[in-house]
Amino acid sequence: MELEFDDKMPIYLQIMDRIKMDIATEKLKANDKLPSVREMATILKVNPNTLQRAYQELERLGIVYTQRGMGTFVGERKHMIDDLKQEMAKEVIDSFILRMKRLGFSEEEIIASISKNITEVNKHV
Amino acid sequence: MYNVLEAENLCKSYLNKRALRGANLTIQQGRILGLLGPNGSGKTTFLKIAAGILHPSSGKLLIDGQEPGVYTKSIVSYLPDTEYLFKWMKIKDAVQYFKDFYSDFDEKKAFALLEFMKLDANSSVKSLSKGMKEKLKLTLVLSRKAKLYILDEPLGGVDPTAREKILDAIINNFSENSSMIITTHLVNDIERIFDEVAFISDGEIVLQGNAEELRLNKNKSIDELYREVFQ
Amino acid sequence: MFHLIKYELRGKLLTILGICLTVIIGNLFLMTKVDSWQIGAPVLSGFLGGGALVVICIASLTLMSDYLYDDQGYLLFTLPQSGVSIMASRLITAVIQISIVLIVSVSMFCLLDQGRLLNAILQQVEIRELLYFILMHLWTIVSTLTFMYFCMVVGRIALKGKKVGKIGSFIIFFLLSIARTGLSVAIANLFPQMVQIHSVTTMTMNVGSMIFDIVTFGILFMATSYLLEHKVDL
Repeated sequence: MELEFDDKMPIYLQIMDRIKMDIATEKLKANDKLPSVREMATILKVNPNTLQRAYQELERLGIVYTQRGMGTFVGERKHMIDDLKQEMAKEVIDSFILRMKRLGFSEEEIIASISKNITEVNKHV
Repeated sequence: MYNVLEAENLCKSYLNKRALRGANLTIQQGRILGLLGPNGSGKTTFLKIAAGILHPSSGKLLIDGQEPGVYTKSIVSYLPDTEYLFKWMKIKDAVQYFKDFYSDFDEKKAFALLEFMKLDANSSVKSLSKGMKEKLKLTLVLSRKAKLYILDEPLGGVDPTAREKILDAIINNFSENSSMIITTHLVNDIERIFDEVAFISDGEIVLQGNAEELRLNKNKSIDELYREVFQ
Repeated sequence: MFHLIKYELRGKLLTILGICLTVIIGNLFLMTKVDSWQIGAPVLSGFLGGGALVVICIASLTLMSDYLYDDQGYLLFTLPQSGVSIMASRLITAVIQISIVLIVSVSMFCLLDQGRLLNAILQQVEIRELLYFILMHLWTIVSTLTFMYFCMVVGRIALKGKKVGKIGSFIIFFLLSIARTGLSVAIANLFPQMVQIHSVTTMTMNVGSMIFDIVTFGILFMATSYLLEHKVDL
């Protein structure tokens, strides 16, 4: 796992986001084992406690589960992928809208610009 | 949680200057603390007191509940900012030296680390470049199973590739039963391995906190915060 | 402590070897000249041995100053070793290295004059006296070095800077030496009791000043150990 960090944001949140993203895009599937805290800490060059915290938070949210002595695994809750996608989509859209509003766009203008740009982006993807 | 190190109102004065003026600092077990400050801020003075080679003028510093002395030296693994190995030594002599004097020294680990650092046990200490010496010192210091590791500028004067290796070695060999203090002025390279950071200025700790909370609350990286504090 | 001595001797190995080799080669050269130089050869051999002793004694002093003033101190003073064991290991190392050089010098001298002087001495000296000489040899090294180490450590603690510290140590040494000799003489006058070492000759020792020497040694040893452990700032 490669990860460019933005040191302005808490590292554990960024690691959580990355794992959520991998689950949402099904790079990580239900019951897949996550790398151990130490492995992951070495790969990302991050304090092991920070990873511990990220894993604990994910567990609290029910996204992963731990088996004693076995490691941490991706949860198999129903609709988890959809929920994660929704959640992350909401984050992206919210911040997009906020920034557009700061730039002075009205609601209609925002919707119009999305409709206009979506076809252009489609060409590139 | 249990505090491995506690410093209370720690002062150190010399004839013509005051290097520490009432420093307060605590480190919990299992944590890595970054002690950050420019040259002459009192970082090294603080570490030397904790290592037991400098004696405070007033205030107190306890390690595992004890004042620095023979006992604390047996549980503290200190990486000084000097070239302290004997000139006649080969790398394997240096390893043997540590094995002879520290009962918590793990020889197997030392040789594994030497290999990781690409150091040859038969080369002599004198012939090593600055980066290699730093790697050797770190190998010796990390091969102990200490309660507290004190690393004074482990990245100083070392090229970027060696820096990566040194960071890897620190992360790989850190255990949750021990604690670590690292000083540096290269905050950017290393800030992600800190649990906590303490900014030291003019002999006083001006800010101490959890690294993640500081990022969250100030919306800044530790490096940016450092630049802001020490403009 | 055993390890401290081991590494100390290892560190001075080249110095010791160098001195011994110089003494041996010098004496071998003198042996080729014994016939032509007559009395000159053994006299020069004696000077050679004396010089070697001076050099090794200076090397024994650097056992301490290296750690007080150089980066090596970071290695020694971060070891979980008490001041007493550091001090004791320093003294034992010094005794060993000075004795090695002394034995080599004396043996070479004996070989050079074919044991004549040794025979002459052995015929007159009693075993008791010989033991006394050996004890005195060890005692002189240990008590003198303790005294000098004490002065060096005090100079290091009281004065900042390498040069000032070393000069200061010398001045302290000078002043304390005068004080010590004065006291020793005064005590010898106060308590004139003597112990006879040799049954025939008049070799004697003053009991009072002997006790004084032992007591000062004890105090200086403990004081230096304490200062090393608790007061030396690197």
